[in-house]
Amino acid sequence: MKRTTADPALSVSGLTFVYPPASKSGRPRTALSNVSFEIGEGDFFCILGPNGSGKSTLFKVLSTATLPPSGHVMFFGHQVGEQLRLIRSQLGVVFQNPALDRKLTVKENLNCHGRLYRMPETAIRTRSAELLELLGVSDRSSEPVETLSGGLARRVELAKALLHSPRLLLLDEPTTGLDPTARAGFLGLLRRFQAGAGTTIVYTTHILEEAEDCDALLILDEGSVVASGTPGALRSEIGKELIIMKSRDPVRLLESVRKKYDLPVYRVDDAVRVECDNASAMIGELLGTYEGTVDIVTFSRPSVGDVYIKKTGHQFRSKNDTAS
Amino acid sequence: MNPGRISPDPTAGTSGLIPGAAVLWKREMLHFLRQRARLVGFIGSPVIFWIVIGSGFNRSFSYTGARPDISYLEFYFPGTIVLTMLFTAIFASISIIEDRHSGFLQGVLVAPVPRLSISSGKILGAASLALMQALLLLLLVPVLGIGLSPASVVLSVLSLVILAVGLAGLGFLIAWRMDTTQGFHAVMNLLLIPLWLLSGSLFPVHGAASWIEKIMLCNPLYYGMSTFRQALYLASVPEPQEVLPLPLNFAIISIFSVVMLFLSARSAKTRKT
Repeated sequence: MKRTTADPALSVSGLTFVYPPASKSGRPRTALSNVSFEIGEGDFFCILGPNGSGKSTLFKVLSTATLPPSGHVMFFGHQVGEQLRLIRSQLGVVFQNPALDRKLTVKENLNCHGRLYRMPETAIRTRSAELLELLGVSDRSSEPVETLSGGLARRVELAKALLHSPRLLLLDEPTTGLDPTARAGFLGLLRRFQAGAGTTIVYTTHILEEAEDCDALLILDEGSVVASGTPGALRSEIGKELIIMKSRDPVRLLESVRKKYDLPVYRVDDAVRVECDNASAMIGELLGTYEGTVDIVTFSRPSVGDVYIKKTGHQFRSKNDTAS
Repeated sequence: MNPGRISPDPTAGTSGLIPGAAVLWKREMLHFLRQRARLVGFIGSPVIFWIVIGSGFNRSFSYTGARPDISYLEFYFPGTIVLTMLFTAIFASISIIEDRHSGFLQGVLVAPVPRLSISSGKILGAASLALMQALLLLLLVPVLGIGLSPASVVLSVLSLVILAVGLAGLGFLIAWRMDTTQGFHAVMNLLLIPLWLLSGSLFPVHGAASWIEKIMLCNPLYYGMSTFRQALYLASVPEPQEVLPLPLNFAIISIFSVVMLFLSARSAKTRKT
């Protein structure tokens, strides 16, 4: 990607985060190990990872709620820890849990936020009105937040984070609790802010589909970066098409396919995956050869999820889930 | 390369302290006004406490101090005010646990304001509520026939201001490191109730067993109680007997409040999340 400014919007290098043991007999838990990446100004950037991958810890550090214990985190060339308040004034943060005061009205919440960010009273008023209008909540602005539905409250949350016109907007699993339509709508809204004001947008998600349309992404697994780049570049690391064969004896199937074809072939759980460029011809051939051993055959164009599977060797799932 | 990296941070230091604290203070007030149940309890419960305990002990109480004729209702009146302040100030400042829980606090923690404004906003909010309540109760003074002078009014209010800030600071200090309100009940039973019982608000220090008396003299709230009682009766003759003279009492509660403010500010600065 071409950088227009000297400093990236965000640069993380060598970030390791270890939680102290929960009890005396417990062991320290490494949530992030040697994480490094860069985000260009104006990007729509996704941090993808299953639950337990270290996303939340990374978000805590990026939001400046926790200072990085090791490594460097820099926003627009300013190092976290040295110019914390300057950085904070340029960040907009949407946490996974609502950070609104439910007893206060929408307007009062925004006013409180604006004043914490040192905005003049008139600027708070005009900008609030503008954002609430844009987000379709202006008719509820005098109502207490507790009377709003989850989706509307989420919009107010977004209005709050955008109020002080941050250069970088950070969102932690922003679509949690929204239905699929509302989810797509919410990401569409974010795209509009990115396009309109040039705001750099960084969001975390554990939903694969939400990672497909970003400008660039980072895939986290068990605290480490397993892949990063544009979705297109990552997908193209896999062949044009992907054949997935489920079998009762995947180990033998894998060996046999490997011997016969000079293609990237690997096994994930009970399925053998073959990357190729001409799936339609391949499928017929494979079915002919392995009739009886193969139960289900599917083929697809590679997705970000397939990149994850290839890099980690397992399905996209949280650390504590048992293999299914 | 980037000039922003070497130039001093214009938002560093204590800039933003006052606006930050002010907006959080305002939020406390709005919160209070939104909760109707709190408004009723605000005045109702201390008055009920005062009337029931004050009248209940009325005949059993004998005062050996300078004013043997004082009724228990009157003796216990300053105690009611201090009790009310203790609970209001501390409960208001422990709402920081809820703020943390509800997620509101995380937004404030990443805002470009010093941590000190978070602790000061909360403490001043809690202290204001406690003080408002105490001042409303003070309106009952004429009913009791306690003679007032301008000096006694000013000093009474001043002592309550100092005490309110100190107690709110104590509440903040306890609450800041707590993650749930459950633990707070233990603190309340083990610390707050004894603090109040042994403050000289329920019984005078002179009539107590000597070991109780010794404990009472170690209780900061005892000096708060003493200061307020002395200030309130400044225009009355004879003055209530207290261990220390008024200026010294004032000095002790001022030190207590400053220490509480300092410790809560330090605590707010060090908790990482």
